[in-house]
Amino acid sequence: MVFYTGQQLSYIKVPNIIITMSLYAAGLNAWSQLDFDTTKKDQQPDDIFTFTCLLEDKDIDYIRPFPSYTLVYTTTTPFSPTYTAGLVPKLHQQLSTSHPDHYHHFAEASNDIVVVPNHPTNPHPLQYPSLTTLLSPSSQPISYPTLHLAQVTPYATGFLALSPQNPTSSPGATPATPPSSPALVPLPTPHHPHPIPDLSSLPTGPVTKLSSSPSGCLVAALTAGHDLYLWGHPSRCSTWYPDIPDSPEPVVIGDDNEKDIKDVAVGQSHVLVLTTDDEIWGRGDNSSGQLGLGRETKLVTEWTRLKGEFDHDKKKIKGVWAGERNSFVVVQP
Amino acid sequence: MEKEETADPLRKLIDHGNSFISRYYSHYEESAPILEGCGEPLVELLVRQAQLMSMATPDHDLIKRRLDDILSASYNKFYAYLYKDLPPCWRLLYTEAAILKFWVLVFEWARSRQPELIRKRVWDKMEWEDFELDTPARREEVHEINARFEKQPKGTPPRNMGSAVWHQLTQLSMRTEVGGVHVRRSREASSRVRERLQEWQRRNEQEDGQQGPEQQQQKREREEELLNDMVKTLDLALILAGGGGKHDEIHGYVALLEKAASLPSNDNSPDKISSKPSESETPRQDPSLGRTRTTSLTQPPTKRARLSLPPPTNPSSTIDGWLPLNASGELVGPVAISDEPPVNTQQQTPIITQKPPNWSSHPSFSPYEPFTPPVTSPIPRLPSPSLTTFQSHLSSPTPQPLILTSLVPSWPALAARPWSKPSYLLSRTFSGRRLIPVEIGRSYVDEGWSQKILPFSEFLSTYITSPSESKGYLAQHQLFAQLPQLRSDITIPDLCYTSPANRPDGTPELEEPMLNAWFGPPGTITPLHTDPYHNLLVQVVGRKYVRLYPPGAGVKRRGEEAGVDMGNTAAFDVGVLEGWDEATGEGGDEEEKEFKRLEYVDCILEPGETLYIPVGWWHYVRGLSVSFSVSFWWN
Repeated sequence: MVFYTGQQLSYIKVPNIIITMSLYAAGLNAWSQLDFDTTKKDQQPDDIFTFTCLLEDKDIDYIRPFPSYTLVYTTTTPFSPTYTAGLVPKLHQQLSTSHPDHYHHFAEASNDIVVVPNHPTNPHPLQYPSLTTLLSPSSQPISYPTLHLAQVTPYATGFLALSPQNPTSSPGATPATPPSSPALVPLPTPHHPHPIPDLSSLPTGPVTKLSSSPSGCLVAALTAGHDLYLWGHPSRCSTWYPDIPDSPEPVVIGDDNEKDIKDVAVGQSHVLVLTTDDEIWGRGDNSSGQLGLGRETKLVTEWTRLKGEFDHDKKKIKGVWAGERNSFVVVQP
Repeated sequence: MEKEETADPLRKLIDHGNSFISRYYSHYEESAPILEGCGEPLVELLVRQAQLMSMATPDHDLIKRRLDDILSASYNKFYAYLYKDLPPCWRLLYTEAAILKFWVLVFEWARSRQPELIRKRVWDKMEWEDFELDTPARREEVHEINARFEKQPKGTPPRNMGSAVWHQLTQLSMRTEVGGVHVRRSREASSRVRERLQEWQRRNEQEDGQQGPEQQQQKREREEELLNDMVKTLDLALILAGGGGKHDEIHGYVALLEKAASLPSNDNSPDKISSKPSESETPRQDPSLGRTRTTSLTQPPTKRARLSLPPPTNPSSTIDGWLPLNASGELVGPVAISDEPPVNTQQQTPIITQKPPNWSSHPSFSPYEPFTPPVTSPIPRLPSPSLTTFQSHLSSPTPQPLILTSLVPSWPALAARPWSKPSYLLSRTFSGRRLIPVEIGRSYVDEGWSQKILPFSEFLSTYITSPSESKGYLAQHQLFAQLPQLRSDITIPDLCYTSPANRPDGTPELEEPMLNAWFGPPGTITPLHTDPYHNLLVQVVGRKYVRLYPPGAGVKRRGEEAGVDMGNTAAFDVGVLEGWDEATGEGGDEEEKEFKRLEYVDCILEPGETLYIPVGWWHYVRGLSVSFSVSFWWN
């Protein structure tokens, strides 16, 4: 912190006002993917059952939770992760060194299909049958030359993607589903991406964010007007969301009045929702502690307010992220 | 062989588990090339759990949670691919994690039933871990002392050595067993290990709490829960992951477990094994029971030193603290049994090794039929054609359906090992503990139809022997691959080894006939459909109505539904259009008219009869009473 006073070139260092952001996380830690403290060497680390502050940095930008490791990006180096925790699979290591641009954007579905939504030299999405084929020099991806994608989220057998403009409907974000149909039907055969009709004209504006579970159970879409739409595969989430609709429907969260939703993140069998008044709500599996509800609670089948240190003093929450079986919350000053 | 029969089955199970864990690396190496496909994080996690299991006091709860993490990750992959496209690593990884979890549960269960067996295992591991901690200097010192000892007759001081020096030397080292090998260790090391073991015992006692009658009851319930968990873990691997190519290994474990579970808790006297009925859970009034408990908890410090002495002369005293002796009084360490092949399931089944019980006095399933449809166009019946007659029948351009009334008269399932008796079926399913997949709902095309996996006993009591609102049907399940003990009650008819002329395009040739079991209450329905195989449907218990439409009859097919090609299923519901069942959806008059025009043949299949369904024929099957059938597909 540097303050200039008058014409004198003097400064005052303010020791306690260094503005930092905090990363809170809970859930699966089988590969130490929540241990950013590299001095810890535990052969069999336990899961973390309550939201715990794991990292502080002055500008945490976003998190990429992979099944066995976590990347934390800061605004200072937007294209390379500042912090890594956990075990990075060899194929991911190879990709990050041989195709850094792909690595930064790629999304991998549970059936191994990989999509690189955009790329500095190619603005159109590319699709590969697997990471192994992507890495082989002779790989021939499927290209979607008419498509521009802003965000891609993988699920069991394909992807959902946001395209920044849509020729058929109003300008703005419209979801399209590349290799699958909107009803989340397990069809691993590549289909041409097509828009989800139910999401093309919503009362509170276009979709701004998509998140989906790798198990194919649930998809979440957030609109510009802070409405949350959920839909999915009832049989795949029968334990924690048996009444999930099979086409997008708005969801009401909050005890008394309906909350506006700022962010959403879907894991394998859990979902986190961040409201505009900085509350976090969740439901689903907590057997690894992914909802931060302690060791005793294995499952919550109703929307539940998730509390933690990040709640104190009404801190401002920047966003939520979900790994398959863990959750991340970034708190800003 | 005789020695094996008399050996304590629980000890045998534990020895097997010890061997499995300690030799995990070689076990894993066989699977490693396939497992690679699952990526190294999950494989590392699996191997890590096996490594931790080989330690003296592993955290069982965390290991089980980690194995569940692997099971869940693999299981999710089953849904991400079409069955035929699933990379083989995922079924294998699921199975490997399930087998390891099975052993974790076995050790927990055994600790409750026979603590001294597990204490021996823990002691061994602690001794080894402590040995590993010895510094090179420390080892060198002990080694030198050993070298001097080895030259001397036992118990006598070396010449030129004063008795004081001799005494000092004996205080410095003692013989002990580490990892199955006798070595000398320092007395300090022994007391370190002893303290650790006592600490472990104290912790267990705290966990187990008081030993009042109520606690005893809780202990039994916990043991029963663990037993069900063990069966469930292996059965899910068989049902969901198809056994990952490890069917025989898993069948061997279930057989070992079933034998061990047939003994009452805390009783390992070998002479009582064969005579115990499997259901018995009552504790025996055995004098050794109390002695085992009290002596083993207060082992004198020098107890281990006795391992270097000759074994006790009385071979029957197998319950001597934690001494790992077999029935002949020989020392049995983890290494000693490691080369034992997996147990052959066929030899483990009590029916074969013992005098077959007489099942005739046991009650049969009810023959009650709530509804019997009329047979309007009967299929011809004949006793049993010769192979050549049948082959020429098959070779005709349009082979017709036939009922063979005496094709399977010698099946044990119809007589000596009666599938019509619930008690017999329970005896073959680990007292009903084995899991089976069941279809819930009237027919697989109905709304709300689902599948679930539940214990056989629960299936019987919920859906078969008591009236139930919803229908539960064990349908098209390869039950005999999962329960080989039932497979020996039937034989594959020779007729399945004929070679039919017309195999549908794109259907691969089956190397062996494919067997499926169909077991359900009255009113189960398999909607009108076709299969790409010739089919012999053998009725074992109860009666079924079957209606067949020829391939060219013009049956309207369903299309793709929810992403699944339903083209082998007809668009109309025979039961609804005939007025036997209530309509669940809308059906037009047009459809009804069209349906009534179609020609068909039908029959009611009686127990012991076999229906030949030629490939491509549409068939509608309806259980009239409690019914158990076996289908044989071949091409």
